[in-house]
Amino acid sequence: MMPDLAQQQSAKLVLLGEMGSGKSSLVLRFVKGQFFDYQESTIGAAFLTKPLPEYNVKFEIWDTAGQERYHSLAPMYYRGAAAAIIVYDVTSADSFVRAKNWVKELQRTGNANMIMALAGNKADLVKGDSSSRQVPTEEARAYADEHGLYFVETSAKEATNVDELFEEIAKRLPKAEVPRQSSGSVPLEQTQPAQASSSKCCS
Amino acid sequence: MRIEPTEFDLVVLGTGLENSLIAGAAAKAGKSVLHVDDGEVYGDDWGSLTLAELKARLEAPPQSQEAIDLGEEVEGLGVRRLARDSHPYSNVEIHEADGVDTGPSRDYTIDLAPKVAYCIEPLIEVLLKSGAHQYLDFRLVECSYIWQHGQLRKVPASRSDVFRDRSLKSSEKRMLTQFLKMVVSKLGDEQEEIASDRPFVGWLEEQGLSKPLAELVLYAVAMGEQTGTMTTTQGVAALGLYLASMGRYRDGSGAFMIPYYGSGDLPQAFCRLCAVKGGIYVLRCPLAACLTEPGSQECRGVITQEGQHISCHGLVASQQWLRSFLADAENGASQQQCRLSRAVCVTDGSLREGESQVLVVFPPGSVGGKNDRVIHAIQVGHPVCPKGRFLLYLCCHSTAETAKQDLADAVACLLREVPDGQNTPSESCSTIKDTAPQMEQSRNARNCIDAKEHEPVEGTTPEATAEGERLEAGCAPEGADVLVDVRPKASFVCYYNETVELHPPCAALPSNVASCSGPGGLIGYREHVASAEAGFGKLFPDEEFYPVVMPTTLQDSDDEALGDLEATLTTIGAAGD
Repeated sequence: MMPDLAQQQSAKLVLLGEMGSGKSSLVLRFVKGQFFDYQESTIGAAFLTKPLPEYNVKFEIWDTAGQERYHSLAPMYYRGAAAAIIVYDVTSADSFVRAKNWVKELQRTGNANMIMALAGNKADLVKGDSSSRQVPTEEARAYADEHGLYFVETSAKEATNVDELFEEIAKRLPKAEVPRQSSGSVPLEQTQPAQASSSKCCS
Repeated sequence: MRIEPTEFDLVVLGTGLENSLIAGAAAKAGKSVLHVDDGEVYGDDWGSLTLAELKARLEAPPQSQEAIDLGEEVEGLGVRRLARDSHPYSNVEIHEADGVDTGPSRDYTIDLAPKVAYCIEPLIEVLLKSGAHQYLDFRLVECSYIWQHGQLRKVPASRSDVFRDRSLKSSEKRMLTQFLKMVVSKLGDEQEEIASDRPFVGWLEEQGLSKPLAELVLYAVAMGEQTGTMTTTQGVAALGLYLASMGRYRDGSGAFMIPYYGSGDLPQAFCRLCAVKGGIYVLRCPLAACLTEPGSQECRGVITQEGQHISCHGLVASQQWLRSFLADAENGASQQQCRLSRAVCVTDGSLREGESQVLVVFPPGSVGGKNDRVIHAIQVGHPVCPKGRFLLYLCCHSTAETAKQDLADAVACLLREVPDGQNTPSESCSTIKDTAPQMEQSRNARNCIDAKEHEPVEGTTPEATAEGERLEAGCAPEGADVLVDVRPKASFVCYYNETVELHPPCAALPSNVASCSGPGGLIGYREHVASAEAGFGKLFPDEEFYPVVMPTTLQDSDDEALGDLEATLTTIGAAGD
């Protein structure tokens, strides 16, 4: 029997990485199965949700909203995340350096139980002809192993390893933890029903 | 670093709450926004910092920028320097207990502007309307206390609280219940018979409330700040706000809540909202000057410290950046400022066992008769500090020379040991001896009691007084029979004054420049939302401040978010074809 949706654990998932490494494309591919070629920067998505009933988890996927462009990402973005995907572009050595900085930043400030994955995106660009590749697979894999990250090369364009990436994270999430809804926190939209009716009679 | 594009509807300088509210509202209204801050982190004077960052921020002013050569005129426009000419913090005193490990600095998220929000107030409505509530969590303030007769007295948060409260005599319980019932019924009907400019405190006494109860209602329910200044009209409105907030989110809870990860989340949430709607964010980016139209002085652009010119049709900045405009207009007229005294303590336990978020109100005169103004204190615990520790913030309008003079006695009431060189246990005893010579030595060792408030309250029965005195042993749990000082100890305390610029005189600025005020005291955000709304209205008179009611279910907002994303991508894709 399919688990009740309300019973699903919701987990905040963030994507970090240099501008243009394909963070939003990965999200869009995963959530909607779509890909857009001319995506320059991200506008408009606060966060998206995607349930994975077979893993009893519902991802709340946050987008950087472009704040990383001038290295001004608000800490609120990655705080409280259950999982982070650090994305780089396999054709850009700079983006790999930036990804490693993000790993450092998360290990410094983040939750110690955060699941981290390293995704070398745009693998389609080096398929067959690896002349434009700037980050060797083995180098990235060694780095990921050393830092306890799940590693995979992906292509949002060709849907390579995208579902696998998110599913692997779902598998690794600690089953009991519910990080997004912090204990004792108040969902602002859920007011007491009694209050609603009493305020109506006073108005 | 070059900012692209180079033309915006609005440039916002500083990521304080009011600035961020305006930035978010403008982006929501479809304006292009560039939002910059000269600091390393979000929030400006509204931010939340680690322990190490807090010390650094208070002690050293933000790096004043080197003046770059701008000349008098650029392409026919005047050049008006934007410079932060003063540091808001003064009289900073930081004390740490020797040999006590407060834990890693980064485990602390310390608010520069700690505040509680009413569960119903414009800020919460704006969060809900804009959808920004999805970015942050709140937690309820579990209990409010008022400092009366040298002890913490619980402020009843529900009818059952009133009945359970052992410090209330049954006559007082009746009085209070009837009074609250009466207020609710008055608020319900439209009759304005209680509207009056008379002092609220007199009206409360006319309603038959005893003096301690009137004090409780005035300071801990209506949140009055000074005896006599609140009118009956204001007081009744404040009661209405409190009563409506009470129980909005949980039965029997108080009227207030507080951002889960610190108040610095609030500006960040509105910045994120603005970014999601296309706003561009650049930290570590001071602006050197504003380009102004000769004559009207309207802002036509800004120059970054790196010398890049950016065109804009409007400018928002914290008041402290806009002095050069105000100097012309006001010419020596006094700026509207207020001076706050603040304290931050790291303690080793809660003021009340089992409670984490606690609000304490010290009415005027309740701390050794010395405090002319109300002192507010907020306690918060993990995750803004390590587990087992608590942050205690105190704040009042300053009347003394330094923050420490204003607040050290109140700190000493709540805490057993404070490493500030003033309130070691032996010294606080001697303070008590001076003011309470009639007290026994043995009790002095454990108590911090205001002698003037110690006289039996009119009409108090002997039993009640005895019970009261037992409870006066520090903050012993209600009903405790043993005199044990269970108050927490502080391992870190920091006092400072903050000069806050209030209600900026918008009219003194050019028509397309709005300024934002700094944070005020600990209670509520109403004036800040109002100030941001006024600033926004000045710049964009045809737009509404946060008009759209977002669908509140996750599924609907998801669809909207997806719709936005797809629309954007499609546009970009189409443009590329």
